[in-house]
Formats: sequence, structure tokens, C-alpha cells
Amino acid sequence: MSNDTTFKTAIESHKAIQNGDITAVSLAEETFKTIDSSDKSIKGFLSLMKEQALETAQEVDDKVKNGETLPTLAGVPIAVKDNMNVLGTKTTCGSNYLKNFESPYDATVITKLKQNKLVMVGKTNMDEFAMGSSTENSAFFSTKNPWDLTRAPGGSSGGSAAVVGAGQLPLSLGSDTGGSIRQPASFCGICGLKPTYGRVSRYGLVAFASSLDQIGPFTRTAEDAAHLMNVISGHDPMDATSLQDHVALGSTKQKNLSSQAVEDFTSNLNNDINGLKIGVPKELLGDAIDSGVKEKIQDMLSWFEKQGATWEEISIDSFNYAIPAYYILAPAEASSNLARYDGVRYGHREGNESSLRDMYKNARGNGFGAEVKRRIVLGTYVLSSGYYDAYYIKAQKVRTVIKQEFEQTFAKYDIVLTPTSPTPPFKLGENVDDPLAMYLSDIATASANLAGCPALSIPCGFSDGLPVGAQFIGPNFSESKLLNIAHIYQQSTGFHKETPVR
Amino acid sequence: MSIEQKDVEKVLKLSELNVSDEEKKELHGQMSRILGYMEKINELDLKDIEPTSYSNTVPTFLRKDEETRTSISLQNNAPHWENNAFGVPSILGG
Repeated sequence: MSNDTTFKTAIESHKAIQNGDITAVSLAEETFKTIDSSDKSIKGFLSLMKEQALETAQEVDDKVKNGETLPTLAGVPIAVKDNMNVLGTKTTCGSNYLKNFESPYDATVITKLKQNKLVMVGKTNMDEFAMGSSTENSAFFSTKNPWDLTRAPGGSSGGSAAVVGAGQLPLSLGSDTGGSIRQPASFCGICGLKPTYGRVSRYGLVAFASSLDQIGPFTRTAEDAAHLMNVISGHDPMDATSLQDHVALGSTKQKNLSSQAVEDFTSNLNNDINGLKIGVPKELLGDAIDSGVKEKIQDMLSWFEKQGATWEEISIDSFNYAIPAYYILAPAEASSNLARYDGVRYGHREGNESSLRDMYKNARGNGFGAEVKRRIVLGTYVLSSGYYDAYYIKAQKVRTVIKQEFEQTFAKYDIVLTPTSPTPPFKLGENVDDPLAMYLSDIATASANLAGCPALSIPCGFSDGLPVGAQFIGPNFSESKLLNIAHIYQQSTGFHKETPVR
Repeated sequence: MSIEQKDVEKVLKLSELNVSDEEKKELHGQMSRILGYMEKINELDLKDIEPTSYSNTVPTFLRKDEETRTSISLQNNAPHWENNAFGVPSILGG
């Protein structure tokens, strides 16, 4: 399935456009052609925006013709998870409730993509309201794993991961609340980054669990991820939890607030990693982890030794409590956030009710799928009188413990390294009837959301032909460091260059 | 703590969700299992620990309290729009 554009990195494509070797329009057309043939089996896209894409591509080509220097990723095709508002398109969030919802404005990340002249080609499939780990909770259809069509692409950003994994295009955006970027990145054999909480604006992202949600990039290479972070990060006055730039830079002095990124995430990519100190939690090397996955993590650790890095097995006990804490806190926040879907202002409404209450109940009961209802019920329960202290407050305390354990760990180690997912991609249908089994897929990833720190998943090998991902977790604002380590790894290994062949 | 069918009924009422009897039964079983797993956090001694609601330790950023205007159309997505307002079933008496 390989041709000239498939599996090229974003930066290679951009350079080719800037140098006049290819046009952005021809690249966009080629991309739509690839999607036409490949997405019949992958089913990663919910909608395409061909007209808008070709318009942007034409603008880019005009600028090249005029001899202008373009922003770093101008002309490069990108896909966006369908929980980010793009004016003039539908934002369904994978839900029947929002199946006809027209985006009323651009999310801040979308404004940034537009300012930087990236070519948005479509919106990708996802678990309904980003609740799930396999994209099987989409109200519309399941997305398939490009490495094995009988397996799940992971979730909830499964569509965004699968289209990059399948080589339809080099970039996409996802959102990560408990692992929803990293786990699908791992399943689809690509790179996925959850930035530090507050680094990327959530304005225009449909809220799931507001204290945990972060938008981040899917790419093939760490270098592309660094470039895309330059585009999407930075303070946004429209998001009260967005970090001010001086905070992100570790300074106490207030700088001018700008809409541009304050840090160049590419500047440390080539730093030497000799002397790097890695902590490897034994809690994520036990019986719950597939032996093929463990083997690949061991291989990676051996590679690190050869680079002059050191690693030690450590204990981070709170990994054992991340899933219970996460699946109390995230549903609690979701039950509150999803109270806005009442059938009054937008979204699904049945229309024949004689009372307001019946209208609410029908709009929600018939508009939401099973997993969303389950989480609303669970969240409402843990917040209800009599259970608030026993579940919700306790889980918030566990969150403190997790944060403290990470802080103590990062006083001694530069990064924590774990498998991203306990297993290689599982079969479609394998976990759909067992919500708890599905939740356990987030065992390695949820901690970083609870603590707020950045975490990156990159491919580190294959187990029986299926991709395995390694996760690097670092202290707040260490994205550059994580990308640096990943970049050095990708300079001397070839796992990120492997492509699914059919 | 075990959850009973009547707890499920109560929570469904609080969440304004219409579900079938079959779904209710299924939810009860699943909630019991999931909440059973949540009990794990009781293994930790959390007595003197402060709860965390946001990972950020820096204060949230607030804009100046100035009026801003947007041109967002409310009508486009409204299931029922009438006389420049959202239409809903009658709230008072009938």
C-alpha cells in the first residue's frame, strides 16, 4: 500500500511543499485518495472536510509560489478527534445524542492549526464522549486496528490513532483523560503524547472529566510530535485551567501572554541521554502484564544501558490504586459535565413528551449509549449523599498520594518507564461485556492524568506481529525531555518505521 | 458496601435517565462488581491526607471581568426554537 506520500513524516512532507517538490493540493488529494481506499477497512473517519482542506492547501501553495516562508507544519494533512469543535463541521463526540450537532465555533487548538496552515482533512471516530478503551463504544461503528483488522485500535481516540497507524496521514489530534491517547498509540504502533495538564487549551473540547482531560498529538516520530506541540500548546485566556506561559517555563515572573507556544519543543531533541536515570515500577512488570509486552520493555531497557543510561526497579505502590481512584473521579466529573445534555438547547430530543422531566429522561436515556449511562450512574452514585466521603473524597485523597509518590520518584529519577498497555491490542468484542476488564486496560496510564504530569507512548517492538508501546512519564513540563529520549531511541531503532502490510 | 437495586433506581432518578428494566438489572450487576473493585482504595491509610481536585498547584487564570461578545448562533442546534427562545414542554400545570 506504500506510495510516495504514505508513511512520510510530517516534517518531510512540509519540506517537500516548502521546496516546491510537491504541492499541498496534490498532497491533500493524494491523502483523500489513500483514505478512500484504506478507510473502507480501517473505518477511522466519521466525516471528511474535503472542500475546506483543498482551500487551505491552495492557500499554502499560493504562499509558496510567492516565495513566502511558511509555518513549520504548513500544508501537512491532519485528522482531528470528533470531540473538538471545528466551525462548519459536525462534532458528534461519537454519540447519537450529538449526531447532528454543528460546531458553533473553533476550539483553540483548531484556531492554532488554522493559523499554522495545517490541512485538516476530517474528524475521527472515538468512544462515545471519550469513554472507553477500544472505540467500540462509538454510536456509529467500530474502528479497526491497522495491524490486524480483527483487533481494537484502542481508545478512546482510536480513530485518530488508526488513521496515522495505517499511513493515511502523518498527524492527528486526540484527547487523553485516563490513557485515551497513549493506549491507542501503543495499539496502533505510533507515538502519542499526553501533555502536562494545562499546557494545551481545552476550550472547544467536549468536556468529559475536566480536571483530567488534555489534548495531545499522534505522530509516527517524536520529532513530528515536538513540532505539533509547538503549534498547539500555550496559554489560552478562554480556558481557566490553561497554564500561564511563565508558569510553564518555571519562572515566577509574568511574561507577556501570547497565543503562541512559549517553548520550542524541538530544541532538546538531540540532547545526549548518557547518564539518564530511569525508574521502572515493579507494579507494572507483574503477572497482570503480558509476557510479550514485558519482553519488549526489557529489550528497550537493554538499549538504554548501551546509551549510558541507568535504570532501577522501583516501587510506586499507588499504581495499584490508580484505576479505582480514576474510575471514581472521572465518572463523578462526567456525571456533572454531562448534566448539560438535557435536550433543551442542542442534541437529541424525542419531542412528544408532555412534561419537562420526561423530556430530559428520554433525551438522555435514548441519546446516550450503555457505557455513558453506566458512568453517569456510577458518578452520580459516588457523589450522592452517604457515599461522597466513602468514594469521592477518598479517591481525591488517593490522587494526592499518587502525586506525592511521583514527586518523590522524580527527585531521584528523570523518568518513569512502563509498558503503555498491559497487553498488545485485544480482539474486537473481547472486553465489551466486561466493563471492569476494559477499565483495567488503563492501569499504566491513568496515574499520569491524576498527577497531571506528561506521558509519552512510543512503539518499542512487536509481540506476535502486534505493536507494543513503552510509556515515559516525566515531571510537569518535561515534554521536551520525553521527546528528546524518544527521538534518540528512534534514531537508532526502526520500530516507528514499521508499517502494517496487507 | 453493597449496592442494592433500589440504590440503582434512586441514582437513575437523580441522573434523569430513562432505561429499560433489563438495563436496570444489568446496571445493578455491573455496579456491584465495579464498586467492589473500588473498595481497594480502603487498603490505603488516608487519614491525614488532603484531597486533590486539580493537579495544578498554580491558581487558575481568570480573565478581566469585561464583556465579550460572540456571534454564536443558538438557533442552529436547537431542537425546538420559537419566538427567539428554546421551546420546552409546559412547566406549569398544563
